[in-house]
Amino acid sequence: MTDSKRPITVALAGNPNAGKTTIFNNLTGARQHVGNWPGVTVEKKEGTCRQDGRELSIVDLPGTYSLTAYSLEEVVVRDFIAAEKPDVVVDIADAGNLERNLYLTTQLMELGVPVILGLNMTDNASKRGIDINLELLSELLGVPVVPMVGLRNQGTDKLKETIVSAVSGDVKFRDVNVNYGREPEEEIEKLEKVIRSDKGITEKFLGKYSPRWLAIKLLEEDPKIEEDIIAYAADDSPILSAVEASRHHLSTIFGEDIETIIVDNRFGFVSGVVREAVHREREEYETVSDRIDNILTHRIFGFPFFALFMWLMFFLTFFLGKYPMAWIDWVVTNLADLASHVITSPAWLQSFIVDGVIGGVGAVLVFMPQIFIMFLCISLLEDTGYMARAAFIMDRIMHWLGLHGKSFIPMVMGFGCNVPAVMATRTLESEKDRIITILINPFMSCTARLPVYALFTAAFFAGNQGTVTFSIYLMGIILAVVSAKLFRKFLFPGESEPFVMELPPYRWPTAKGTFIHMWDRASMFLRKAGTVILAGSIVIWFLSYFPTGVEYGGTGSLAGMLGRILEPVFKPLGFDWRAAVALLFGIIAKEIVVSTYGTLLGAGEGQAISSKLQEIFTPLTAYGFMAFTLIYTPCLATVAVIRKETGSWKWAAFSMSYSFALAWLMAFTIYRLGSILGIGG
Amino acid sequence: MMSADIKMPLGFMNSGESGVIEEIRGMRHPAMECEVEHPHRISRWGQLRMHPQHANRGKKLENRLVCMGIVPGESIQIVKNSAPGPVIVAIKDTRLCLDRALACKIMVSRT
Repeated sequence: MTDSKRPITVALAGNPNAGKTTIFNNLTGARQHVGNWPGVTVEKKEGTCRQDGRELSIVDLPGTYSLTAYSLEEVVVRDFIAAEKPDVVVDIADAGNLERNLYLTTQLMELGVPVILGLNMTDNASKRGIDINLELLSELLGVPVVPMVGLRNQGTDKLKETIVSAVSGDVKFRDVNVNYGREPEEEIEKLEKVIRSDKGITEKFLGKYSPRWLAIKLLEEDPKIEEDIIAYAADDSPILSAVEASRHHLSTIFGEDIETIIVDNRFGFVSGVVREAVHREREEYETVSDRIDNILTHRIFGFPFFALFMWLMFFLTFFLGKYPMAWIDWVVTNLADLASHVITSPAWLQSFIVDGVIGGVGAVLVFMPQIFIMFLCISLLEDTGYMARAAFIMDRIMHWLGLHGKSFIPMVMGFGCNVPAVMATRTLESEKDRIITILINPFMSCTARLPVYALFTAAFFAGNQGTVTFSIYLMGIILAVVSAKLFRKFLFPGESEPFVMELPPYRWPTAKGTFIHMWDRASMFLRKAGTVILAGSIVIWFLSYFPTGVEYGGTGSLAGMLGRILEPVFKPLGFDWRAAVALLFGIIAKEIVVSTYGTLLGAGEGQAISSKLQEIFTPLTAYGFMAFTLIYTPCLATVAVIRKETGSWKWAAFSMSYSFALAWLMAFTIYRLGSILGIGG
Repeated sequence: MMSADIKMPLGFMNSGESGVIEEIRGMRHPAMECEVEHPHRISRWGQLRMHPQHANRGKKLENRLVCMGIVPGESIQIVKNSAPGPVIVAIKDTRLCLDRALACKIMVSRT
C-alpha cells in the first residue's frame, strides 16, 4: 500500500511518567537528536531505527494526560498528529495505572490515526497482582497491544514488528468510538453534517481532522478549535448557530455543561474496558513506593533526608570532580607547553594558540567533570521520582514565599543550567507563579558559574574553598527568596494558585537512561566550549594582542582601552578594568569570565593565573567579584529563554536590569562594608 | 456503598482514611475573572463566549484534575495529610500531591 522505500513515521505519545523516554531510547539508541517544536520551547526529540529493511523515523511527543487545548504540550501533540499524519501513533501506557492512561488512548483514537498501545511496565503490574487480558484489551479498543518492560528493554522488537505490520496492512484496526450517549451523539451527528456542508471548513480542516472530532471539540468548547472555525467558516455559515443550539439543547437536558458530559462518558468507556480486561488478584493498600514514601516524606525525617541528598549532590560534584579535573588540567598545561615549543614563530601565532585558544578554552574545559557530575545528580533526582517528593517537602516553605512546591523543581534544576530550568516552569499552571519562578531562577547558581568560584577560591581562600563557595550558593538562594517575596508583593499581588502534581512511583534509574538524560544537558557545555567560548577567547585574545607592539593584555591594548571606558562603573566595587572586560564578555556565557582571565593573564596554566590574580584582587574584592558574577545579568541563552517563556521582551529586560542593579549593590556593600570593618583588605 | 456521612473537604481527613469524591467546589467562576477582550466574538457567538484565557482559567485546573482521575464518584484514599502542608492521595494506582487550598475544595463522603 505505502511506498516501501519511504521511512515510516511513528509518533510516541503517552502520559508523563509512563516510561515513554525509556522506550524512545530503547528504540533509537544513540540515533536521536533534541530540538524544539517550532515556535515553542517544548522539547522535541527525534530518532531513527530499522526494522525489516524499513526505516522508522520516530518522534517523541511531549507527555500529556489528555488532548485539550489547555496546555501547550497537549496542543503540540494534537497539532503534530493532525498536521503530519504519522503512519502510526504508539501510545505508551503504564500497565499498573491503566485507567488513567487509556483516557489519553481514547482521545488519540478519536483523532483518526492508527494507534498501537505499548503497555509498559507489565512486570510491575503483574507483581502487584494486576492481570491484564491483552487479547481482550486489544479487541475492545480495536488496536494492537504490545506488552513491554522498558527498563529491561523487553518488547522493543515486538513493537517494531507491530509497527511495520500495521503499516503494511497486516494488522487490522477496528474503528472503535467512545459512545457519548444518545442525546450527545445526536448532536454530534447534526454538527458533523453541518461541518461537511461548509466549504470553508472542509477545505481547511478535513485533511487533518475528522468531522466527528471537530464536532466533539466544538461541543467541548475547545477554545482553539473554536477560534479556528470562526476564522475559516464562511460568514453566513450555519455552523455557529448550530453549535450554539446544540450546546443549549444539551445543557438544558443535563443541567451540566457539555464538557463534563463528554468527559464523563469518555471515562465511562475507559472504566468499562478496564473492568472487562483487567483482573485484580488482590486489593493492595501499600506499595513498595508508599513504604519508601513513609520515610522520605515523613513529617519530621523528610526534610533531613532532603538536606542530605542536596549535600550529597554538592559533595559529589566538588569532591569526586577534583580528580578528573586534575588530569584535564595536566593535559591542558602540557598541551600549552608543547604548543609553545612547537610553534615558535611567528610570535602572534604562538600567542594566539597558547594564550588565546588553549588558555581561554582550557581554563573552562578543566571544569567539565564537575559540570557532568552535577547534571548526573540532577538527572538521578528526576529519574528516580524523588524530585516530585522534594516539591512536596518544600511546599510549606515555598508557600511562605507566595509560591508552591512545584516551583521548587525548576530551582533545583537551576543548579545545573538555568535554560532547561526556565523551560521546566511549564508545569506551573499559574502565569503569575511562572513568571516569578522564572525571574528568580538565574539566582540559582548554575554550573557555568562554578569555574569562576573555583578559580577565585583557589587563589584567595585556599584553606576554606568549600565554605566560601557554599556561602556564594547560599547568597544566591537568599536573594532568590527575597526577590520572590518582593515580586509577589509588588508585581503580582495575590495568592498562588492551587496545584495538583503526580507523584510517580519510585524507580531504579537505568544507567543508559540516566546517562542519555545527563548527556542531553551536559553536552551543551562541551559544544559551548567549542563554539561560543572559543569564539569569545579568540576575540579577547585579539583585543589583548593588538595593536601590535603593546604589552600583551596591558592597558595599551584594545582590551585595555575598552576596559578603561567601562572602569568607572566598576571602580566603586574595587574592580579594575580587566574585571570590566571579563564581566562584559561573561554575559555571552558565564564561563567566559574565566577564559577572559585565562587569555588576558596569559597561559592556560592554573597556578600562573592564581598568582597573577592575587596582584589585581584582594580577598575582599575577590569575594565581591564572585558575588557579582553570581548575581549579575544572566547569560544570553538564559535571557533568550526568559523572553520566549514569558512571551515578551519586557520580562527579559526586567530580569537583565534587575539582576545587574542587584549585583552592583551587593558587590558595593561587600566592598565598602568589608573595608570599613577591615576584613581581607 | 455511599455512607450517610456528610460531605467533608478532603483536606480535613486524616492519613489512612478513605472516601468517595462527591463534588469539586469553586472551580468555575469565569464571571469573576473575565473581561471582554474581543467583543466581536461575543456578537458572533451570542452569550456563549468570553475570552478563553479568562474564561478557562478555572477549567484548566479542573481539566488537570479530571485527567488525573479526580472526578465525582471516584474513591480516594488519604496517604498522607501533612497539614498545614499539602496532601498526598491515592486514586486508583496513582499517587497525587494536592496543595491544601485544592484539597479543601474537593468534597468527599467518608467510607
